[in-house]
Parts: sequence; structure tokens; C-alpha cells
Amino acid sequence: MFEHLVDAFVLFLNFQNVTAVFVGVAIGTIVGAIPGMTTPMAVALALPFTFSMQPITGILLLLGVYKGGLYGGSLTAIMIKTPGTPAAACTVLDGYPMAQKGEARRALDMALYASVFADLMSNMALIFCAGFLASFALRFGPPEFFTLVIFSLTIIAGVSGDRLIFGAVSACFGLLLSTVGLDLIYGTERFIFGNYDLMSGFNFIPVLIGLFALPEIINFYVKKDDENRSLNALKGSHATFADFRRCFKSIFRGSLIGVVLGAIPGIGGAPAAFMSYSEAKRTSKDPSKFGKGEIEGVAASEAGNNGVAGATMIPLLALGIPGDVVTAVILGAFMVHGLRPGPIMFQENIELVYAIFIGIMLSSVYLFIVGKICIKYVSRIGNIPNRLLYPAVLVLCVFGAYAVNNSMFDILVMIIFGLLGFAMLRLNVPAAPFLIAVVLGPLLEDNFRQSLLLSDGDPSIFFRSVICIVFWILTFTTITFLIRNHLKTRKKS
Amino acid sequence: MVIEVMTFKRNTDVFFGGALLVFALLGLFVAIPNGIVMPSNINSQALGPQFWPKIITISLAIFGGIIFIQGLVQIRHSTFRNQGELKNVNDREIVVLENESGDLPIRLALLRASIAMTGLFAFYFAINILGMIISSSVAIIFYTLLGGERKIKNILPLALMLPTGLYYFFVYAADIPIPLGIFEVLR
Repeated sequence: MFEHLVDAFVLFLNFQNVTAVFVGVAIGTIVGAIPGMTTPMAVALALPFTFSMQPITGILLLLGVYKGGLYGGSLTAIMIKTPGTPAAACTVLDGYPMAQKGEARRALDMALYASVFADLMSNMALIFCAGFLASFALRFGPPEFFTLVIFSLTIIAGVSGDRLIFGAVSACFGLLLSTVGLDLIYGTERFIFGNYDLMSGFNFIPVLIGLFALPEIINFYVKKDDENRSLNALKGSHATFADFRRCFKSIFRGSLIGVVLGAIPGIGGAPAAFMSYSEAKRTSKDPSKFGKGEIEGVAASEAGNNGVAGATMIPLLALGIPGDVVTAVILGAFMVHGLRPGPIMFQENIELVYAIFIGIMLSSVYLFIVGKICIKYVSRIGNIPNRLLYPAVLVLCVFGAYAVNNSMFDILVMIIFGLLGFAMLRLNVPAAPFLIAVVLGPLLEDNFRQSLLLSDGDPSIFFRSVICIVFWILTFTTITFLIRNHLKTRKKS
Repeated sequence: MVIEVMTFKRNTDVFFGGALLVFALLGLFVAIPNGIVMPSNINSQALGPQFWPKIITISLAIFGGIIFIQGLVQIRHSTFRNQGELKNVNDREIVVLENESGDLPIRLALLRASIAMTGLFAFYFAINILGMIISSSVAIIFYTLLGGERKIKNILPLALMLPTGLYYFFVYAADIPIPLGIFEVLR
């Protein structure tokens, strides 16, 4: 253990890694603060820049972008009532009224302190839980992994919102896309139709960039130009230690909520923020202050939001299963760098895992520093007009898609998936299930067929162990719960 | 207005569900038999390369059917409820609907979306001829103007500096040869 830790420090401690985490957090915070730019988009665009880096450096940069992006959304949520990320929507409730009352600096300070604290707690949860979960997962064979992936696909419901069937349709298209290329077992062609660029299937990154960046760009041109944002002045006193102490209970509880919800695939930051906020309000001595500029509301929502950051990495690192869209992108980054997260990585590449842990802890410190700097320049960040921003993003997309394989075909793939993503956006079909299914598709099929090969075609292999049965029960319980909730919501509306 | 929004949405659902159903059936009976090569020595159908695509397309057909029927049921429901008030959604109503969602009027939105999408393909083909730097610069100028930016002092620095900066990063830092098209001789 100690030896591995020393190796990890040796692997981590160099100028590139230490800088990559900082640059990642800075990029994430800035992008998160720009309305219209999302964290998955930022991670997707940063990914091609990591190709030439060492795997650990590239992955740390992307993790930095993820963490910065989660916090960055709160800056514009407080200053201009425009959450940079969906998870920051809850921060608007009390952050913006505080800014209107001339307490913008206090709100921003508290958002930062709560974010950093929750981020640290989430990182600790990751460090303590991932190894345990990975050692347990060593008992998994193909049938267990198959049932785990089936259960993980229920996360699609979490990212589909109230469009459950449309989310399932989107996921089916993602699964179908993942079958393109040579067959895993027989090596025969599937949906290639004579195009040899498709022999190894669609590359994940152009599909990702196409689905998450291009639709927003095209959509900008069908929207009215909404650049007249009213920006509150950055004034008022700083948040004090007394403020932090007063909000500590809500911050701690919010961080715990974030950690628990973050570790469950598919839930993400927004529900954690709202749950943390409602708990803070419910237990407050004066709940009527919430929604009118209560600093505890800002602290609770930001703690819930950032508490998920490290926890979503638990299923990713320990099982190789992405917890949300961003971790699906990060899983893609691992694969691009020739790594496969999961229990085997804990056995064969433990130094790398520990080095990631060290980098993640450092990212919390950087989040504090970058956050402090960004607060000063927040007005400039939020005011970058989209008419200049989106063409620049488009060029980044094209360079990024090309850089994957030095292939013009990948640019074409990106454009086609961009148009598909735009159609999905306009038809209100969620794109996130598509991406998650693209990532999980090969895992699902591979483990299914391997299991049947092991059992000579006997399907009872999928019920042979307690682990399989537990995953089936979890899957059916989740599906029943989701359908019941969906029907209830429909009935209400 | 609520009625109009609902009807428009349900019409879209019926169209989407129907299209999905047709797509799935085409996949099942045309694309899979023709697009997937089956090896001759398969012991079990579940191990064959057509198995998963078939399962997925059948699922798509089922979901398509559900969306189609749901849309029809909702149209019937809202027609009975609002009989005589609304028969069809015409362009004018959609314009109002789109305006409420922050979109431009439908015709202008369609025109701008078509220009933006065509521009993407033009950008792609231009890369082969003009290379990545020049075509990216032209694309930035084109899209910033389309977006409503009129200040040359904002457009030009972005159009010149971003593609050049990215070119230098990818070529010299990442060692990825970025295509220069007809300017390849200058490399």
C-alpha cells in the first residue's frame, strides 16, 4: 500500500500534472460561468487537447474541467440570474435576490466555500469507497457484469427527465450505433455497407462533440438574440467565518446528500442541489426567508451540487460504469488513452488510481483559488456574447473531431450527429441517453455473448449467482418505481 | 393557446412515433438482413451478430408504437374537449407558439437554421480545398455575421487568431498534421 502510494506520488508530481489540474479547473469554471455552454460540452471540447498528453495528465485536466464546471455555473446564477449549468438553477433562488440586495460578493463567497467543502467531502468518499467497491467487483464474471450494465442502463431514466419513452428511444439509437463495425466474436461486418471507415465502428469523440456541442450552436441561430442581461454590481461585504459557521449544518448535510445521490448512477447535480435546498429550508428556524436572499439557501444548493463531483467517479473508477454524461465522456477519455476503468485497473494500475486521487484532492484547493480569482472577473465572463462564442466553439469542434484519427471522415460524422442532435433538441428527445448507451452498448453485448458462450447457450447463467439476482431485483424495482412516478406525473399534468 | 401548444405537440408525437415505427420495421426487414453478414456455423441465434440489432429494433418499434398511440389518444382527447375551437394548427399559430419559446418567427428560424446547417457542409468541403486554417477563418466570419455581429474589430481578431493558434497547438504541441489544402506546399 505504502509502496503504491509512493509510486503514485512519483507519477503525479511533475509540472505537467500539477498545471493540468489547475488549467482544467480554470477552463471548467470559465465555461461553467458562460450561459449556453455546458460542462459535458466543455469536457468534450477539452478532450482532443489531451491526446498528446500522458494518460494521467489528460484525465486530470478533464476532471478539473468537470469540477470547475460544476462550480462555475453558480457565478452567473447569482450575478445575472442565468445558471451556467442546470445544477446551478437552485442557486438562483437565493443567490440572485442576494445580489439584488447588494450582497453579491457575500453570496459568491458562500457559494465558493460551500462548493469547495462539498467537493472535498465528495473526494474523500471517492477515495474511501472506490477501492472497496472495486475489490468486491473482482468477483464479477460476464453474467454479473451483464446484469450490472442492465441495471446501469436504468440511469437513462435519470437523464431523460419527464420524457421517459423518448429517453428510451434515444438509448436504443445509441445501442444500435454501438453495433456498427466488425462483430465482436465472429468478426463479420455489421452495417458497414462497403464503407471501410466504419470497420471499427463510429468513433466516440466525434459523435460526442456532434451531439453535445453542435446542436447548441445551430439552435443559437433560431433563437432571438438575448444579450441584454442585467448584471448586478459586484458589491457588498465578503462572507465571514460567522456566516460559514451558521450555514455549516446545511453545507455538511448538502455535501452528504450530494455524495449519496452522486454515487447512484444517473441522478446528477441538479436533484442533489434541490434536495439539499429543500432540506435546509425544512429544517430552518425561519423558512420564510428562503427564496428572498437567504445565504443558507445558496450554501445548501451549492453543497448539494458540488457534493456529487467526486462521488460520480465511484462507479466509474470501481466498476467502469459512468454515473452521468460527464463521467461517460471521461470514460471515453480513459479508453482513448488505452485504459479501462474497473476492478482490473485497481489491480494492474493502482499507482494511476492513487495519482488520480491525489490530483482530485488538489483540484479542490485549485477550485478555491480559481473561484476567488473568477469572482472578480465574473461580469466579463458572463457577458461574452454568444454570437462570437459559438463560431469559436464550432472551429474548436472541427479541430477536435479531426484530431481524433487525423480523419476528415470524423468531421463528417460530427456534422451528421450534430444535425441529428439538433433534431433531437427540437423534438425534445434527450441526447444524454444516446451517449450513455453508446458507451455501455459494447459492454452489454460483449458480456451477454461471453456469458452464453460460457454456458453453451443456457440463459440460466444470468441467474446463477446472488449478485446477478440482486442486480435483477434492483433493475425491476427501479423500472417499476420510474414507471409509477412517470404515470403519476402524467396524471397530474 | 394552451390547446394549440398541446395539439402541436401531439401532432409531432404522432409523426415521430410513426416515423420511428417505419424506421424500425425497415431496420428489421431490410437493413439487418442486408447489412449484417451472418457466419454459417452459429450454434445459437443469441450468439449471432444479428441478435442484438434485432432486439434493439424490435424495442424501437414498440416504443414508436407507444408514442404513436399516445399521440393519437391525446389528439382525440383534446379534440373532444375543444370541439369546434380548433381543427388544425396552421403556420400563424406555430409562429405564436415559437415566439413564446424564445425562437425567431418560424420562417426566419427555418431559413437561418438551413443556412447554418448548409454552412457546416460547406465548411467541411472547404477544408479539403482551402485547408483548416483558411476555411475556419472564413467560417468564423460567416457565422459571426449570421449571428448578428457587425463589429469588424471583434470578428477579425477571432477569425485570424483562433484558427492559427489551434493550428500551432495541434501541429507543434500535439504532433497532429492539420490539413492545409492547396496551401500544403507552404508547410
